[in-house]
Amino acid sequence: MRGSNVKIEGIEKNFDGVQVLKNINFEIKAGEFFSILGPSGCGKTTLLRMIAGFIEADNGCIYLGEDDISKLPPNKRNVNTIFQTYALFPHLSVFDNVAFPLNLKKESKNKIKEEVEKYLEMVQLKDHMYKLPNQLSGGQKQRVAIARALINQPSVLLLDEPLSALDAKLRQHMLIELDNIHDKVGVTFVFVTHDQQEALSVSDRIAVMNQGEVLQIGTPNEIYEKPSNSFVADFIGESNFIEGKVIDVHENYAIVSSRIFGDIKFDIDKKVSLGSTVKLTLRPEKIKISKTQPKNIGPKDNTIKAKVEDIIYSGFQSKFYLIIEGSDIRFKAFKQHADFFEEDEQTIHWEDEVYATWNYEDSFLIEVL
Amino acid sequence: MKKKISLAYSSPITAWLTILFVIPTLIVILYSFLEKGLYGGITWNFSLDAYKSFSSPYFIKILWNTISISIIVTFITIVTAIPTALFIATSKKKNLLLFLIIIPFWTNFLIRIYSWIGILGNNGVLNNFLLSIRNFSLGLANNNNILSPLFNFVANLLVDAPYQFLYNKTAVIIVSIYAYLPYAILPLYSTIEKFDFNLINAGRDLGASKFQAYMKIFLPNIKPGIITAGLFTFIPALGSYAIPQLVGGIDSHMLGNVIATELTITRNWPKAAAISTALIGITTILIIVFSKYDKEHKAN
Repeated sequence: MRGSNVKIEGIEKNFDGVQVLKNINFEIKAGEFFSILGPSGCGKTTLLRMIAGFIEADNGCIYLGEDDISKLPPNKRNVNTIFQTYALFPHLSVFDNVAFPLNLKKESKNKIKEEVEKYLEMVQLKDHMYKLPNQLSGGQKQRVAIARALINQPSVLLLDEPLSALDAKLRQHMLIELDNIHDKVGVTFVFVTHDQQEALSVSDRIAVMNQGEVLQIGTPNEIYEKPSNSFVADFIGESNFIEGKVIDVHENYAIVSSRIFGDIKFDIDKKVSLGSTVKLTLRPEKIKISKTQPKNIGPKDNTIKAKVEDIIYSGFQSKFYLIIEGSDIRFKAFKQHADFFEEDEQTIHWEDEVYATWNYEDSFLIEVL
Repeated sequence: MKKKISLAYSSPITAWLTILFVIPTLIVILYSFLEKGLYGGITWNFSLDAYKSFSSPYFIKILWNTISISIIVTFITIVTAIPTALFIATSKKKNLLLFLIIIPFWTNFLIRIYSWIGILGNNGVLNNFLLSIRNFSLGLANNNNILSPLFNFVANLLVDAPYQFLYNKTAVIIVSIYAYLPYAILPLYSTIEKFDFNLINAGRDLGASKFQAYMKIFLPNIKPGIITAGLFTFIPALGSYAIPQLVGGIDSHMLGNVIATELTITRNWPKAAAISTALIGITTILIIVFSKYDKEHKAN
């Protein structure tokens, strides 16, 4: 099986006068594990259903390889979908569910048996062949859906939030399994999800969508480390935002003056002009917090003083919500527990005064206001 | 303890059904095994005479009428009810449409059958309409223009006399379908409403045409609704009395009419009871078969 590329050109869609997709353009490469990530209502599922053929676009074209498939009915498109609710046929056994596409093609009995067994083996369900869907667990149903979608040998597999109905542990497991299947079959995967963890962990590239627009397309690393705007920074992982006026520009860093945070040094990879108001972003896990003033602060570090308002312990890390004296702005700093007791540090408690320190490279410009 | 309470709660309806349903049914069954009285009624002697008449050609003809009419009615009713119920279940105005289905029940059943006489009768709406089309076409054909042959053709399709729509099997079938359609639509609607239409999408996605998706996925999944609708149509059709009596002819008498004749005119009560018992038997077998299927279906 070989995947093909999917090209989306100028796709627009209105529902009852509300524009749910605004001029969407991007290309999914052949064989890629591509995720479309966004909050609910951002248009990601509409876009997926358009590729599948269940919804027609008002404007624009969708190409599968070289062919314009925008006007083809779903059964004439060489793509298959894994539905959020699995959509297994309740009146058919696992075997007959997977055999459904082949039965439609009127394949010979022997070929059907051989193929179905091959695919059920791939998803480790050969022992459950004669069960009905409602005798299976959620994870098993999911695997039947995968086998059924792949037996048609589609060039693109569309996955519509396929893991959202599973519990957290199983979700992790299925995610790894999906990744393995992707590596094995080489089909292009288009994975729609609202869960950033899912998208970050398996995708080759991610498109982040909000309110019918694609905001950023990039590898998980690019999306996380270099979000292109504050929505992406906020939606993927967690972020702190700092607003202020640029008061000094150096060769590779600039200084912003914030009413609340004071003077903050930040990395410049975009052009900034003196005097402009800018928004910086800073990941909470890049911040180091300590009760005493850190001794080895370099010239490139930022340090601010704050008070601990709240601590949320979550096993592998603790989340500290800091508040800067004289303001009501909350500021997040995450501390990994691997280095919890390093450097004979004193344990930080609620209401303690702390120092938050970070390298200027970790705070970078995200928007010029 | 819980069992006792539920028994107590259900006692009124149990008493009601026992007195007005179970006991009368048992009496009917009992009468069928007795000798007929000279002037109607029964005499208390065991006899199978009533059942012997089952082998007469007349009875077999009536039985055949009853079963064939019921099967045809059930089939056409269900085939009509499925798309209707599907339309209602997927419509945005389902409440209004359901209301429209229920409106006919506000009018008495007999009056609704009588009104069919007004439609199908020799001087009825349908015949008048067809005659006026014929006369209209003839008039246009006489004008001698290019379309004259066409109008002549239309006029010749129609006879210059009223069609005999009433008092035959066709009339019984048409009116029965009309009468039982709501009973088929309602259970089908409630099944279809629960149907997950995503399954149709899944079928289309896997290569099925729209028609294939409905045949291979939709129909098998609404099977319980189809069976209920079938029973709700077939059982009352089997026991039809008023419809064949009012719009049927001599060729379309059904068991219900024979029961009435035996009871009131020939005054052979055991025979009427025997035919009733046979109907009860057929109905009971159908319901047992259905509930077995239903149990299996639910077990899965």
